[in-house]
Amino acid sequence: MSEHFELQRLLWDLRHDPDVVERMTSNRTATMSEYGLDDSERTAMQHGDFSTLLALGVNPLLLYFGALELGVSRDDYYAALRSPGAATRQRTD
Amino acid sequence: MGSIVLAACTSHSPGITGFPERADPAAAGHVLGGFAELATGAAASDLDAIVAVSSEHFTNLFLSNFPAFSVGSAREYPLPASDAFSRFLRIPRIQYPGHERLGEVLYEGLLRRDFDPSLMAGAYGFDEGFSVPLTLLDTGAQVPVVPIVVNSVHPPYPSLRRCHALGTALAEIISDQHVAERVMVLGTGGLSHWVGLPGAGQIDPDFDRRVLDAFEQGRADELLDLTDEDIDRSGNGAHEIRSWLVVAGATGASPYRTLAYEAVPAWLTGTSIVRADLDTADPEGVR
Repeated sequence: MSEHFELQRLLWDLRHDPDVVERMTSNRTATMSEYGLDDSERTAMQHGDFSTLLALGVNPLLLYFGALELGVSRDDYYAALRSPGAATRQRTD
Repeated sequence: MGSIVLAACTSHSPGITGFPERADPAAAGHVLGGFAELATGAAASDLDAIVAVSSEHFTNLFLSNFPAFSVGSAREYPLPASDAFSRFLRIPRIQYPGHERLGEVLYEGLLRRDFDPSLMAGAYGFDEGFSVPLTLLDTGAQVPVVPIVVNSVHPPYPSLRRCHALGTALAEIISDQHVAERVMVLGTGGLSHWVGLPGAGQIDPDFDRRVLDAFEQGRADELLDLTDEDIDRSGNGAHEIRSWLVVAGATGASPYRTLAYEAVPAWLTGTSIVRADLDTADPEGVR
């Protein structure tokens, strides 16, 4: 229940601080390091691998809302969950 | 002495206000009609306060300090919490009045009855949990609200039995106080739905019917034996029936009428509105 605190804090901040969205868009790797994400979390976030993140135990609401803030559409988010393994594009438009 | 004159439980799907056009028109009309009927009843009930019980979805509360129960005593609440929520829910932002004094009375009363809620004395903005139902129930009167937040979004959750007991305690406190005479209790959330999980868009009408049957028979206590695993099978959002069970605990064996039930995949939610009329001056509920 309290695992992945740093990642979940990042997901929370994405929804509450536009500056974090900007930093995740412009320099995702550095931002994830600042938050202290571990390797598995960073890899999954980098690839939009939401199934893996759910399997790790990340809260589904925090994950979904955070993905929306990163420009992933609702349809793309759920499509990624239903086709695990399929590459999920992180849209920035 | 205060009394609970009206009780209701409703879904709070963002789609009800935010994207009603995506739903089947007949289903959307039925749901909105149910809210309109409840709004008419609330307007006729001469309410002094609404005690509203809901989950919240990481809008204000985060895992850095995550209460099982919270009671609001703020003077006012941003409804909705932000401009982004306003656009998403298609609800113009207002400052919704809080019933400051009743919030304080409920907070203190719960502590005296050995419950341990956190206090929200200000800087709390409403997400869909409070914004959608309060907007649809409001006919212009803006009855002051006391929000009560129940963790239904991050396990482990408070037990169903504890939620029901909290409602029973709230009813005792409401009847013992003098700051708000005519009170509505409102539970929001559910019924079956999945958020952020692969099941999103599915609905479990059997679960929903079980909940509605229990409320219609005044036997919501029969739901208290559901396990968290049972509820998980009807979606992580189904855990929001905790709000309904708080209200059921406040109204005892009173039967509810289902004003609307629709499985609405476009809103990702088994969507319902139930109501109990408790005004002793109006036992037939003809208001």
